[in-house]
Amino acid sequence: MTARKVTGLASLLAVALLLGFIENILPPVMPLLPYARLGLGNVAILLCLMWYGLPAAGIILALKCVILGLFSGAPVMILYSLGGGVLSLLVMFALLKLNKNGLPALSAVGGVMHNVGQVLVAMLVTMTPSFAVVLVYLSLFGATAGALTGVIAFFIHRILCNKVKE
Amino acid sequence: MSRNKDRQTEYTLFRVWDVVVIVLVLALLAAALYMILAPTQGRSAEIYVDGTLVATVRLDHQERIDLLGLTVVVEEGSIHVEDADCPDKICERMGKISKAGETIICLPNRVVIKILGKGEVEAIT
Repeated sequence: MTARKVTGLASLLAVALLLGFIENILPPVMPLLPYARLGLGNVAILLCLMWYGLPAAGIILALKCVILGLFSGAPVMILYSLGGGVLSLLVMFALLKLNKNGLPALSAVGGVMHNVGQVLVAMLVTMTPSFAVVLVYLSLFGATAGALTGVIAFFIHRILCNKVKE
Repeated sequence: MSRNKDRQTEYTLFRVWDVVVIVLVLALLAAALYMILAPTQGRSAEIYVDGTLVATVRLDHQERIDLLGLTVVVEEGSIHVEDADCPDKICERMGKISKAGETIICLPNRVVIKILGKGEVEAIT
């Protein structure tokens, strides 16, 4: 691992954390779904996956979830965000490998998978299958937020990709 | 953008495959939701004797319950009275019940079996 890669990963983690903090402070985007958030921090995770591969992105994701969870004052949330994040990351990795999709759609699927993962964890923790109902609304929101994330990642990549790779 | 040596991945904003993938995910999601939510309809039953709740049984397994003069059988999401010691056997003839709100009533033994509604949340005690 080169110094260049370390600093790149560290910057991405810093961006992800900062965006996460700001989102925690801001009021919910949709009053009806207080737990639905844009997840702009996932731009950093997606870029990390594109630039540095799956293992690096996994580490950054885990750090982001744990640190944000500890600082948000509700460590239980780590479980939920990790569940969603890991599923989302794996699916996005598979889609990137297939190399047949545009970034917004890929990221939208990732967003939906994030919600699926979270709700799965919630269902397991509370043992209530009816939790799945939330998924209907949540995944529509997740797809939109994911698509937005993908568009942002696309433009950041266009600006930065030549600087990231030597 | 692709001046790098082994960069096969050219990132784009939209490709035809996006439609396929999104439709696929939505279809999978709908199917999964249906499978998860369908069996929750009447997934447990309450048994009352003399108006007091004596048992709550989940209907997702096989079980035989001997209750007063009744033999109550749980199977495949339904519940029925297999054998009753009373002369009229009305509860036996009521057959299997499985949908929310359905009841079996045995007057001689003062037993009521009721399937819980889908909207009702099970009490956590």
